[in-house]
Amino acid sequence: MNDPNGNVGAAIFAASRDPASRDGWLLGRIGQGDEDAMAAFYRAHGRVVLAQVLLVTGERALAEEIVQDTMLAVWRRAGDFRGDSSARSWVIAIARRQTRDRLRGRRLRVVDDAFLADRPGSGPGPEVTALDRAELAEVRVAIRDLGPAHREVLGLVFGSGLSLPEVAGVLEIPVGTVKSRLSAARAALSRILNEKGQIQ
Amino acid sequence: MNAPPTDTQSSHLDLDDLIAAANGQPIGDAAGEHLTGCEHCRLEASRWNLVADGVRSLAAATPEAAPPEAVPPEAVPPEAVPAAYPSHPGQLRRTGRRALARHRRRAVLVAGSAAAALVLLAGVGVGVGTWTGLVQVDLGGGASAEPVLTAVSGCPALESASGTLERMNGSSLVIKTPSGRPVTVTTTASTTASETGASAALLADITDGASVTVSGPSSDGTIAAFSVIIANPAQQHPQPPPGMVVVKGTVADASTAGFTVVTADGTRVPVTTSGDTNVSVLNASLGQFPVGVSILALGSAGPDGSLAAVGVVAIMAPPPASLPPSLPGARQIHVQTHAQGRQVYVKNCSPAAVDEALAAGG
Repeated sequence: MNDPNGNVGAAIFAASRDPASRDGWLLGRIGQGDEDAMAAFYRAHGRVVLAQVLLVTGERALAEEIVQDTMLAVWRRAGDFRGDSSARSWVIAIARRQTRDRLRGRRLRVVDDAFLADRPGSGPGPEVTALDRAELAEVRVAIRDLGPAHREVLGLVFGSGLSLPEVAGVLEIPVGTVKSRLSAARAALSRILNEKGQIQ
Repeated sequence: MNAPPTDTQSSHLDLDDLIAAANGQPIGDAAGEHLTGCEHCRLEASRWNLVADGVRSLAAATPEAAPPEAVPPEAVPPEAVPAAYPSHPGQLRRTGRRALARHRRRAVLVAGSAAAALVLLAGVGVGVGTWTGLVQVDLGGGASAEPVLTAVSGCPALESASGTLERMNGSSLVIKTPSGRPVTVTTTASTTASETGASAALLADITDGASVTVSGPSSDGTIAAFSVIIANPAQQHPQPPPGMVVVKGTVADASTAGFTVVTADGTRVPVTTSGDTNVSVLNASLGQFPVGVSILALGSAGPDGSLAAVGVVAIMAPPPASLPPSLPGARQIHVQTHAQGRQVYVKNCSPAAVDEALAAGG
């Protein structure tokens, strides 16, 4: 705690009910080197970021390292935050770039993966009925079997709680593409459930 | 809804509405009525709900991060390991990936530790500037009927407990921990008590004559209070964040909508408050704590399982943010107790630091 005078303020602002105001204030403090503000920011977003990165990478140790790198980047670059987006989408975007950098070289078919991810769903078909009868535990398993782009968009929308425009900002794609990717992800999920024969 | 009335294919809820519904967000009245009466859309909503539940359950099951390895002082060159984060972005020196990774873990650990500690310590008035250590005690689990505490490894003189206030027994509080265990917190005349949170009850404590420190954005000379600390202004002086100001003084003209701060030089600064204004009362009375309020207590554990508190803080609203175990990178130290399962998350809880804090807080 390098700033005793700021601690009380950090504590109180960290407990603010208004996440946007809280986050903006915290990032301002972080930019001034306030460790307590960094701690509060970490507590507000760290677990969500970890969950998202873990969903994409599927590797716990790697995900933890990426989160560490992300938070270090937040520490260094908090002054860059302009409030044009929510702090959560901002930090998740940082985490996504960290993830991409770490995974670069591992996956050679990134372009193909993105292309496949955005293929429009085939509409309600036999696969959809798999979702109608699936149990939550089966869906969880099937989500893990999705491609990374599909896991990523589902995680951003339902795990991180970002709005569709925010997801578009993080993924750097149009909102329409986010929607088609979501639909494609769900269709792929249905196919996985169907192919696994988990639904009788 | 995308609803050209002549286009039956597009009269159903669009993806935005379905996603919003799956995320528990409000949708328009027309969309809501349509959802009620349209089996196709209900099925679609149900499918998205299932997908959303699957993702959320995966996120909720995100495992705890591994405790970081111990970082012996000689493991990393001293110049590469600042006390926590570097004082200025960019100061971090790269001295090898492993060292850097350890360094990062340590930095985040410090951050997490500080976060948990500051809420409590700010509330009890301990000299927070001297603190580097105690984070959280979870009085969880155990086979015995009552938790009986002994020593905390590495932090023998100080403990904390959190839970909801069950009842007052004279000068003692009985709190129920998240695991349902009762813990008695004893207090003395020197125990500090404080309240914090955004609540109407605390706003009502802002009365004429009170000494306050107000923080918030200023517009046309009026501060929209983000926080109000009722205490001796000499004790509290938050640094103004960007776009905000901090004013200390005495309350005048208090009303439900705000008040005026009269500073030491006689300047009168109007302040507005709202339901989101966080108010901290640093010299509260334990008797004011309502049953059910969230309590954090800091003190010394006795052999009978009670906690002799040097400070108690009531978190009126919102409830206290969950402290670790969800903190990635936290170092876990297991505590020997009669009730197993108790864990403490600490960072550099040196006896000197504890003694110093106890002295400051006691």
